[in-house]
Parts: sequence; C-alpha cells; structure tokens
Amino acid sequence: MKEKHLFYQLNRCTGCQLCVMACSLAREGVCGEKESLISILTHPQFGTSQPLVDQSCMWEECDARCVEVCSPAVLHLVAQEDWGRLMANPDWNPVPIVVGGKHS
Amino acid sequence: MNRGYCDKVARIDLTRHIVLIEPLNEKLKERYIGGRGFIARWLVDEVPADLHPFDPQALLVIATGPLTGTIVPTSSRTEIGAVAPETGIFSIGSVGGSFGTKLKRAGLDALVITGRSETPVYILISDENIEIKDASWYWGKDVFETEHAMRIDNHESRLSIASIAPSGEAGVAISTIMVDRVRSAGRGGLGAVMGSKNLKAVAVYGSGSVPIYDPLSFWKECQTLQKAATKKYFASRWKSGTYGALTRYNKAGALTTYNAQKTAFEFIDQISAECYNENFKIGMRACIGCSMPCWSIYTVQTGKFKNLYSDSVNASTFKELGARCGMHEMDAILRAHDDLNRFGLDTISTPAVISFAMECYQRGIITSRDCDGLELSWGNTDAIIPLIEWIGKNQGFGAQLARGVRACAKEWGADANSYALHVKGLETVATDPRGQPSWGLGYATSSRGACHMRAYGNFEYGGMDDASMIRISGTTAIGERFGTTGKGKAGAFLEDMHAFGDSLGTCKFMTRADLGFPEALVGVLNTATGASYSADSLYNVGERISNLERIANLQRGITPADDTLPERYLKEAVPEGPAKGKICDLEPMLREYYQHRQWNWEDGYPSPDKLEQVGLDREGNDI
Repeated sequence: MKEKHLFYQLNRCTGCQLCVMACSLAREGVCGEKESLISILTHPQFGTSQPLVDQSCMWEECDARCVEVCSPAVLHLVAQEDWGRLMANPDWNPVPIVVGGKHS
Repeated sequence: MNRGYCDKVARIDLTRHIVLIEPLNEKLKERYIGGRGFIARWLVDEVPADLHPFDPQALLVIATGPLTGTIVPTSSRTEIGAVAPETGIFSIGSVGGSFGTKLKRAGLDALVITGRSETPVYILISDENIEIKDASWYWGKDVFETEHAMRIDNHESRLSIASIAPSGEAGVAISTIMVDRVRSAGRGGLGAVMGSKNLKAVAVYGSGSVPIYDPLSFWKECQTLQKAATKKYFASRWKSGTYGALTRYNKAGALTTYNAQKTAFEFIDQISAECYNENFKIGMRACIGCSMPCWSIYTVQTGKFKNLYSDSVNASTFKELGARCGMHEMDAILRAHDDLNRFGLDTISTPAVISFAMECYQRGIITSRDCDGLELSWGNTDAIIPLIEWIGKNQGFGAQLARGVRACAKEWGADANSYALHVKGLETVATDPRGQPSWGLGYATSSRGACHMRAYGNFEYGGMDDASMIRISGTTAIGERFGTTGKGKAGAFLEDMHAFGDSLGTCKFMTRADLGFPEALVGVLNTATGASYSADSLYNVGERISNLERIANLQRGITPADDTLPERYLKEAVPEGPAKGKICDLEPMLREYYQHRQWNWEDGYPSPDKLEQVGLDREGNDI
C-alpha cells in the first residue's frame, strides 16, 4: 500500500464535521464523533476549527470519504511526491495524529 | 427500527420539575416527519386556541428532524415553536448551529416544555441525564455572558446552548431564543415565552450518534446531493455568504430604505459585500453538517468601535440596520448587529420597529420628548445603538418599541398605522415587495405573519431554471419580475417544500429550488430512516403541515382579510429608482394562491377535498 497521510489547510476548516460523520458512517453506519477516527476541535468562542486523527487512521483501509465530503477542500490525502511541496507551504500542515485516543 | 430518529421525546414540566421520556409515536413520524411538522401537530393538539402565550400550560417545543445531525447537506437544523405573544398565532422557527445535532447525539428528537418554574432554571442535557437546574445566577445576564458562564460552571466547553437575554426575561415581544451565541429562532417573541416559563436556557452535549438505516446507499444519495449543492452554492457563499444578495435587491429596487419610503439606498456601496469583505471579514464558517458555509467572522480594527470581534453576518444585517434604518457606517452596523444578538433581539423586527419610529419622528407623530430625548433621525448611530440596548433591557422609550410595530402603531394613532410594516403583527423583512412581488405574496400568506422564509422564492431574479419554474408553477412566466401569472401556485408549492424541509431537518437553502424538490430529498430520507416515502407522499406531508397551520390560524381568529400587505406596499407607488412607479399587485397572486390551495376565498378554510387529500378534518384533527 502506498504511504499516504492526511494534510489540512490552515484557517480554512469551517467546522462542519462532515468529515467526522463520513468516517463514522463508513466504519459503523452511524453519524457521530465516537465512531469516527477524525475529530474536529472547534473553539466555542471563535469557531476556529482544526482536524485531528486517531493513529489507527494510518492502518485502517478506507476510501477516504473524509476527503471527498470536504467542500472547502481543507483535507487532502497526500502521497510522497507531494509531501515536500505541502510541507514547504505555510498554508498546509499534516493532520496531527492522536495516540492513546478512542480507537488506539 | 429507530434509524434517523432517536425515538425519544423529553416532556419537561417546569412547574413540577418533572422530566418524562416518551417514545416517538410511529404515526406522528409517518404523517409529520419531524421538526416543524411535529411542533405544528403538538401545538394544535395540546394548546387551546384561547390560551394566552404566557400561560404556564402553553407549550414551548424544540424539535429536530430525522436528518438532523447527519451528512445530508445543511442538516444542522432545529425547529423551535410556540404560540407567539406578538402575533397570537403559531411561530415555528428554524435555527442552525450545533444544537440539534448535539440533542440527537444525546439521544433525543425533541423537547416539549410546559409549566412555569417558581424560580429561574435551565435545562442541562448530557447524554441520558436531563436536569432542571437553578439559573438564578444567570438571570439578568446577556446571551454571551450566559453561554460563557454556563460552560465554565458545568466544566463542559462543548455545550450547545439555547438561551434568552434579559429581553426574553422581561417579556419583550420582539425577543428571540439565541442558539450558539449568534443564531436565533422564534420570531414573534418566543424569547418572551421562554422567559414566561422562568427558563433561562437549554444546554446540551451528547456523545452518541445518529444511526442510519442503509449507510452505503445513504452515503451515495448524500454525495449526489452534496456535489450538486456545492457546485451551485459553494463559491458564492464562500465569497459573500448570504449578504452578497444585498446589491441585487438594491439594483432591483427591492431594498426597503427609510422604512420603505424608497426601495434603493444611496449609500449602498458603503454597506456592500465588497466593503465588508475588504475591511471587516476574517473568514467563513459553517453549521454542523453543512457544505455551504454562509456565516462569517469579522473584526473592526479602527475607529469608534475598534476591537469589536464577532460573527454571523447575513443579508439582514445590512438590509435592516443599513438601508431600512439609514445607517451607512459599516462598523456601526456591525456593532449594532452584535448588540442585537447579545440582547436576544429579533434582527428583523428590532430594526423594523426602530425605522418605523424614525418615520413617525420624521413626520412629527412622535417627538424627541416621546423618545427620552433621542434624536431619531435616519441613520443616527448615536440614537440607534442606545435604543437597541433600551429595547433589550425593556427600559424607557425602548420598552415602548419592545412591543413591536403593530402595538406602537395602535398607540400612536391612525397616521402612524400608514407606516407600520407588518402582516398579522409580524414585521416584514427589508425586501420590498414592490420590487419583488412574489415576496409580497409570501408575506401575506406566511403562516406566522410576514415571514419571508415560508415561501422564499428566488425565481424572480434568475435563481431558478426553466424546468424548475415549470415544475412548481406550470409556467416560466414566474420569472418575469413584475408579472403575477403563476406566482400564486409557485408560492404555495414553495411553502409546502419548506414545510417538509423544516420537518426533515434541512435548511431553507436546500428547499428553495431543485435540490429541495421532494424527488431530490426522498432518497436521503428513506435510506436514513428505512421508511418508504414516495416523492408525492413527501410533498403531501408539506401540504398537510401548511393546511394544519392554516387551520390553527383560523382557530385563533385569523381571516382571509388578514392575508394582505401593509397599505404602503399595495397603494403607494415607489417614488424613484429601479422600481419607480410600482406597487405590489397582490390580489391576482393571492386569488391564484387560494385557488391552487383550494382555500375558500370567503372563510379561508381548505375545501373538503383538500382536507381529505391531506388527511385532516376541519378542526385540524388527523383522519
């Protein structure tokens, strides 16, 4: 399997949680946070949002619905040939990986 | 099989501090789907027509739909309804944000609240725990203070909170219920209904999820819808939210200016989307489950209102406070808009009553002595901003305006009545129907008074393709802005579409054109719930709700004579600008609407055939 990682664009996430629910729908047939490998952290005052993924996102096979459902194109699943370009661009970051979280 | 739904309703009696959980009735689901349909049914069944809106026995209902909290585009919606004190009829409003999603994740479809607590309380819902807690400490706090304090006190930053400000506590007729700080539902004074129950807030966090009947088919149905919705709306929303429409209203001569003395605003460039985007906007945000971000965060970094930071600007912000009240300094508009949210006031009705007072002041019907010394000249920021606070706190001249346009007009005499812009007691939005006639029909027929969101047609300004226009009215003639042909039928069709959309849990943006047609939405409904609606039966639910709300209005004294517009729109030609010389030619549209609905022109009731078709009797009972 080709190594790919999720990247996100800073300051563009709207906090809609569609990625969260697309993941839980694919994994467990429900729309919710608990069953999803992605969490969106939204600040209660500012509405700023950013994604995190559970480490099992690295090895669970899936069809990347989180990327497909993201209308502002915040999330991208990126293969090695594009890592350098995105890492050099301050607008992009790899989605942080949580260890010891709900699915680890 | 509870899919889409949680199959639980919490009945909360604030007099006795009792919470009962009851299952959702299967028949109710089948006939009314959820949200607005449930609320209309419960209000008809459980609230006597002569009951005062503030009677403890009165209901305040918060209800989600089966699609709320899912990946159906725009599915964040929660409906809040009660009999409104400002109008005396039902007001069922829709709100986005995260409240409905969190309520469903806590395992509840709806809350039916009755009674009146002796002391201030709030309802805290955390998964299966529902508590009625002391709110004395929050009473008197504004919306922003309340939310912040409630999160801290409960050690839960993720709470979604529906609360009232002191305006609701004091019974202000134009107070609303605020959700997630800056979103509101409950035009016609539902904030005051909540206040009458001594209920400060409902706060919810749920860690569960919404089960889906056929996850793979549902995913595919959602993706088809979402791709179409994104293609159609994303770019314009991302650029200019809903406020981008402002310039279009102005160009059409449909922007209520100076309380509709004109319909185009000479300072339009100063309140335009371009001005906001360039100088104030920080970025766009979306409600949970929505792929079309329509609200924005902003800041003011210079001048008198320096350091203001807030969010959720929409078209009404600039229409109502800008053109309608004559304000043209955008930083002051943003300050005033933030205050409306903070004080829990209706962002349409409050500017409407202020602009009404301004015209009465201009004409000498009231003087600065009546206004506690304020100089109520058009656009006077130094009067408008304090006045919003006085209305919010129900103080001085603000307490007069807090009663709404109709009540003020009654008090200020016959002359004032000519400038009072309301239908059935609810103030019109600042889109002038002389420049956009179908909206006039919508104000006249809306089941909660002059609500523009009940019909909310976009066909008069190129928002609908030919096939869709033919689908809803049988003709493309509705695309002619100043024509009347077909608009009655189109208005009824769109009202029914919004009625089932408000019951599913989707936003009005979905059900205003082809993406909201019953055949477009029936797939997501069936795959989410396991039900087997046809497009026709889904449409029939919308029609049932429209007719039920109609009967409820008739039971509360509404007659066909109330399905009208303020005299100014009907008789006073627009003096200048793009709609110069126009009035709103309501009657042909209204006659077509009645004919299509099969409503009796004399007594307003649906015909026996129509009643049978929607499964209701003349008293509004299910048959």
